[in-house]
Amino acid sequence: MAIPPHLHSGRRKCYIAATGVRFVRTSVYVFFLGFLSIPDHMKFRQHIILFTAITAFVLDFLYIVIQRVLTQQKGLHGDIVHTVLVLIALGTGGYYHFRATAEEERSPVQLIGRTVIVITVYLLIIGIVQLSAMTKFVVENGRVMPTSNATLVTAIILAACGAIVSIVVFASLTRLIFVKRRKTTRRNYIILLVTASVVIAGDFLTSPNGLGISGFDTLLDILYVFLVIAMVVNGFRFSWILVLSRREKIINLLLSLFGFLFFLILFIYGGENETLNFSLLYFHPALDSFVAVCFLFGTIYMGIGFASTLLHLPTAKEFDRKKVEISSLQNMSRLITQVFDFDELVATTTHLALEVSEGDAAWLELTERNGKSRHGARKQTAETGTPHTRPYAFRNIDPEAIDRLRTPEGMPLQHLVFDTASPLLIQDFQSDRRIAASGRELRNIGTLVIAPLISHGEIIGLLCVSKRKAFEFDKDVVNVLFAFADMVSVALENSALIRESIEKERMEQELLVAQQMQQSLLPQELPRSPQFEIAARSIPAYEVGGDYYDVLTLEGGRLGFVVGDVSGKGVSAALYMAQVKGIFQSLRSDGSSTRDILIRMNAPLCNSMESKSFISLLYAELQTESGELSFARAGHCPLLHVRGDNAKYLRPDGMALGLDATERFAVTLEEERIQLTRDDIIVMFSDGVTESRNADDEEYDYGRLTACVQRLQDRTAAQILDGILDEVRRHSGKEEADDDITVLVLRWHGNT
Amino acid sequence: MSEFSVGIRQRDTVSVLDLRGYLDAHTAPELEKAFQKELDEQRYNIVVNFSDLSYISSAGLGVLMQFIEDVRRNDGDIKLTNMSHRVYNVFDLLGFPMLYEIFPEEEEAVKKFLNKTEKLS
Repeated sequence: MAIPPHLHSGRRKCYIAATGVRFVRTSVYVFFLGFLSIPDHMKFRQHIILFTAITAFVLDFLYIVIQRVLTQQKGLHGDIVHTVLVLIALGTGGYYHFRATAEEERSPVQLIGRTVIVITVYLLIIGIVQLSAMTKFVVENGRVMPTSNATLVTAIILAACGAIVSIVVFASLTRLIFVKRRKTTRRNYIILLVTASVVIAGDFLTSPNGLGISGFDTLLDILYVFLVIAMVVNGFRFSWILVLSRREKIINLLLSLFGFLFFLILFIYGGENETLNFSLLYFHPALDSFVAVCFLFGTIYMGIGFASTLLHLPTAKEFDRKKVEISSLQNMSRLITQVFDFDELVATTTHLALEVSEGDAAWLELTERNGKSRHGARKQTAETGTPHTRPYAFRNIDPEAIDRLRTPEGMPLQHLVFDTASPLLIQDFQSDRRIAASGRELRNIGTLVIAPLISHGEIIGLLCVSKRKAFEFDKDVVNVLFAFADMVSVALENSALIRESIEKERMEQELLVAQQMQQSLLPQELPRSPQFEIAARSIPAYEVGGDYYDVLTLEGGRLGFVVGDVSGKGVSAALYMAQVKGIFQSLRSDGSSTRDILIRMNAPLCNSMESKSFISLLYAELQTESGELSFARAGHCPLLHVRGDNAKYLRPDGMALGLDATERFAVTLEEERIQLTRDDIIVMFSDGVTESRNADDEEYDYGRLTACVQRLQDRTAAQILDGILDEVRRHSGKEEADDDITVLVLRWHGNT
Repeated sequence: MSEFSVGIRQRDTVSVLDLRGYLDAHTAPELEKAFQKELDEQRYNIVVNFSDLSYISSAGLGVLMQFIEDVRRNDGDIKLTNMSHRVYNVFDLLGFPMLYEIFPEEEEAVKKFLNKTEKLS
């Protein structure tokens, strides 16, 4: 490996050392510890520790081999050099493993799983060695001795594996003990360690392969009892089982069962069997003791674990459901903020309802109001009776099936909930008397819950969940669904409010566009002449009606006056207006009579307009040379003619445009002609003027308009116009009119 | 601001819609719904009683126009009765008397429907 040149010499050495260590580590990792999953980012110190452990072991290996070669068949009588090397290897190896696994995020079940895997592998290795019959030991004066070099090497390998396995087991069990630690956990653990150390030391002292000192046997037996007690006390550390899911509990049950059996085999077998026991014993009696202690502890811990898991298993299902309930309710409270997409909201609602209750099918029904669901407040009027609901977001059920849920009287089953406003639980759907026979054909429903969604004291919908088998929902589930239904109501209500405000925003935008369109259709400038004065204005209501006026300069010294009112509002009204303006523009050169022009307009408007829309319109033409005014009225307000004290509303017959496409329109339409004289005043207007109402619900009406114009008849057209608009505004007492107000004033000076 | 409601009564084969309050662009959908319901249930003999209606705007008239074609295509009719002077003026101004039969009393309208049915049967 190339050394980066920029490193200083001191750092270089470290670098070389680290690289060497990494090499060793990688080899060890591959050959010994592959299944232990060592974290990739280990600190330098840990490298050193690992290095020490391996070095100590390798040195020990060499030491044993060399000693055997030199001393010819003599065993290791607890040799001090060997003991020190084994202690260093075990101590550093154990410490290394503890540190390396301390940062792992492993669940208790995973730790148990790892322990079981490790001992299974160890059992397999022993099995292979056993079958190949590679080991042969002899016992001389109680001491175990290998008979061949092959046995020696095998014994060392088995011992090394045993050391590694016990370290891993010991580390895993330690970590398991410290899961959810309490005040006494550490104390108990230290007692266990101390007792185990004393027992191991005692074994070493008494073993013929060790120091071979006799006389401690009784004391050692007592210590063993203490050790077992300490192990049992430390073994009762299984509170973590409670929070496991049912599936995890089953896995844990199997793992701890296998763990228990394997440890038991290893412990008993390890005490009796030549291959394992003699290998360890020959290698070092303390290691043999340590491995035995580990296996004993493993047996006890796994045994207790198996029993605890078994005891917790019956409640596992219940516990699981509670956990799901809690998490679903949490999800739902998050959902309340995700209300921008209604479809998503109802879909998630039914999904969560199924999760909460572990039901098989679920759907949501929302109360209809004004023919469309606002999924908001419901108004129960005498006319509508019990509200109609519409199903949404079905899961595992189709709308047709829902429609068949009826009472024997043929009413939807859901009405039972509307009467009581509390959840309805049908435990045995197939034989319940509240359900019509047709509903019982739905074999997929065994249990059914209908929970009302209540908002501001009114039922806005229903949450329905069913289960295939009967008697599957208990009261708890119903209560949870009811609580859940409350959250759904809030979410739906929020969703409705948001949708409404978005809709309102959109409407306002549309109104703005319509207002601009309407304004742009009105004439910018009115014709001026010494012969006449024209003043006109249209004041749009907030929610634009469809008023329209225009003054056209026509050929042959004629002037055209249009005042119209398109039924409806907004952009569509403005578009019809534009169409009317277009038709007038195209007819400007035409010499037809006012009546003919309206007749020719009617057919295209009937075709293009919606059936519910129509246009009232007054069209007048003034022959400026003669002062003759001819006009036709298509369902519009009459024309006011004021001459001194004489005021007359002229109202020739005629239907509104767009109502009737047949001949009837032409047949009923009349044209009227009047000869204007000097100072005559003509006022054309829309119904917004005469129908403007005051607080007492009185209309401004034709009489007031006449009086107003007569009072102002000496003024200019502009002043008359202002006067009328002022008076209408004063009459209504409001700045904003309810309807568009349009007034056109023509004052005829005549040909002087 | 404006209150409006529709009541539906059945008189033999005739549906009578009682209108109450103000019928304008805001409340017109309510009437639309009532008509739609009658059409959905294939009742085409419809009398609209205006006795309690205090105001009607062009949007309200629009609703009548919206359904008349459908109703007549099915051999039915919409007949209007008991209009106040103010309401009648609005109809009259726009030329609606040309398109709809307007009766002073509901009885007459209902009788006319029933006579027609008798003749047919």
